[in-house]
Amino acid sequence: MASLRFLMLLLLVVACSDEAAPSIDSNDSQAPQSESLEIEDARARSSRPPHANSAAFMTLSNNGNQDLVLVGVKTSRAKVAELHTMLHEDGKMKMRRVEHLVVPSKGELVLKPGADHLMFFDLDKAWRKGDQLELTLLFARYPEQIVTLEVEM
Amino acid sequence: MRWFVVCCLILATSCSDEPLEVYDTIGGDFVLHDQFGSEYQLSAHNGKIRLLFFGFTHCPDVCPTTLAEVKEVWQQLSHEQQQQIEILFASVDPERDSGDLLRDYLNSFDLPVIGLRGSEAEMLKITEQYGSYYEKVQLDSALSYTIDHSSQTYVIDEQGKIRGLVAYDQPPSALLELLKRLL
Repeated sequence: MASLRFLMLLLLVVACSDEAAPSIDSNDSQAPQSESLEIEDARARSSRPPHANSAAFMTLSNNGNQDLVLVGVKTSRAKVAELHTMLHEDGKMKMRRVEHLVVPSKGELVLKPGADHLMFFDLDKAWRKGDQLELTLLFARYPEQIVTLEVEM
Repeated sequence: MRWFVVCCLILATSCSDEPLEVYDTIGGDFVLHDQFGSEYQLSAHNGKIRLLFFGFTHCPDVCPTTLAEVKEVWQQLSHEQQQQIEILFASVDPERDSGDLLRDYLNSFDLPVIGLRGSEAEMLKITEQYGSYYEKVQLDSALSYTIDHSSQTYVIDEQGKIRGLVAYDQPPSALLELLKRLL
């Protein structure tokens, strides 16, 4: 009877776990190794009046055997940072926030204008061409990555 | 339905080597105000080639990209050619885009752009007239709301007729090619 109760408890725990929600835990034994990821062509867009927002772009290459899931970004240069995508539907452009973006195993995630990108709101001050920014990319089950980039556009 | 026609026109524009067609089913005259508060009537500026884009200042991606690409094209034109062209940026965000904001925003591109603004009703009428589209959308984002909008650039000739449409994903060279055929 005791073992049955244990089994019931175990089933309950399994049923309540939320595997869909990525947790950021770089100590996970199953986590991909940090050398899996390469980041290139990182650059940011200068803000324009009213300096309400700006965006950053880069290419993330995943040489590992597991997909990497980008779940967030942060920077001291903006109070709010989000992942966004742009939907193209019959000539209409629709920008939407997304919860995560995937860097596929043996593939790449290209963050670029008119597609997936990083969005920043409530900027500390205008982002001007030539400014150096530091971003921290947050992944599920993968170490956060600090990227230094320049405002180029 | 009009915007289905616009999609077909973009395709036709990008594929054709024929002389540029006159697109009579969309476009036409309108009256708005520029970023300095002066009236701007399209027909009053006939004699110039016009590039018309519908956008908004809080647009974080498509609008600055389009204006940057227009600037790239602009810089490849001679001074005489530049004098024959007006660049029009019509705001589809009347709620946020004041004249002052439009002025400051457009000044930042270092490009002679005429910012146009009107009431919500006027902008809905004009975008419909041009087979364009926009819609205010609340977002689960710090952006609060955004504007879904058509992203093509209209090339309007000296008589005020649309002669070409350049889609967002076409390279700046497509716009340059269209302009060279009109200049």
